[in-house]
Amino acid sequence: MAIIEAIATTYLEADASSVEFSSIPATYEHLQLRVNGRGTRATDTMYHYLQFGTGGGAVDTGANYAFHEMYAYSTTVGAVSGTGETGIKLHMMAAANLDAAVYGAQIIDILDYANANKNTTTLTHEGVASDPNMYFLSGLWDATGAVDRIKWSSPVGSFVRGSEFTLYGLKDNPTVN
Amino acid sequence: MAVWTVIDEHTMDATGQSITMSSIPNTYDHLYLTASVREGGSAFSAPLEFRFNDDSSPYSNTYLNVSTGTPTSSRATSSATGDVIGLTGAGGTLADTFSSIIMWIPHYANTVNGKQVIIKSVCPNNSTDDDEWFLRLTAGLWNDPAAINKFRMQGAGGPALEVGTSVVLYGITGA
Repeated sequence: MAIIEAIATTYLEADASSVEFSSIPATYEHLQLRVNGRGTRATDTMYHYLQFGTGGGAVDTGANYAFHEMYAYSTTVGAVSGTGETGIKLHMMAAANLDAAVYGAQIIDILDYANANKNTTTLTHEGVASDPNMYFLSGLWDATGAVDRIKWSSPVGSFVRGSEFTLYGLKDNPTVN
Repeated sequence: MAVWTVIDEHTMDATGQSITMSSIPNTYDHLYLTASVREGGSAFSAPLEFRFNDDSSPYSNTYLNVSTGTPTSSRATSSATGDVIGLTGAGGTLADTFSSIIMWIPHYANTVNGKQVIIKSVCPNNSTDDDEWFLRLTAGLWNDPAAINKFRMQGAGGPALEVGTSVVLYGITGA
């Protein structure tokens, strides 16, 4: 049995306002999301939100999320935070003003995502070098249910054709699953 | 093709000061470690030490940290610490919220070079106030040529690691 397995992949054949993975099994120890993405927003990166669901229901759209980010924008560094958010705020989707071949990269780790005694937290590293920006972020969903649904969406645009989203599971016991 | 193997896993079912993983074989190319950690007490964060092979020196680390609106960097050498120092969330943060730590140790079994580790760590919280959360990127060094055969993660002289704190150690082989 492999320790790291691809659970699902979505490759966009056409622009989409959101991307969602559902029925995520609780049999892994950690999840990792790897994304190569671009958005329709005219300039800057296309910020977007990551939302979670549990118990077979829809994703939580309430103000139950928080994020903290450290960013590098060209030669400028800084930090931004938010609480009471309706999703974990992320950035890396390359915007329409960049070269057509430029897609941002995003890797999100979700440790212990199925532990019913822990809030869901994320560790994200993302960037679009030609924009030029890079982000290192934490995210918090104030809910302890096992994550079985994940959704990306943006209030300022859509994800464009060619964007690719992959969900991996990491086990802590090779005999499980 | 790279092959991942779980070397060891530990979840704390009672509070305690440390988690130790012994008898790490030298048969892998790299080590990858995940930790979901929370310490007790009333502070928002607390130091966390990583030690290899029970060795008290020589360690050093350099890191980029942010817990306010302005990122800062710092460096410590073995004259100041006996371990690669990390940081984790503690009892002042939102209940049930654990910090995430991911560590890579490339070529951990090399017997010529010191062991360089790369660490990403975050302390999420539902607060935007200064020093009630943090993000940290660390380069740490155990400058000893011995192959790593033992790992210890310890709350550094402060509150204990809380129930639910967990560590998974992976070995990776293959080009």
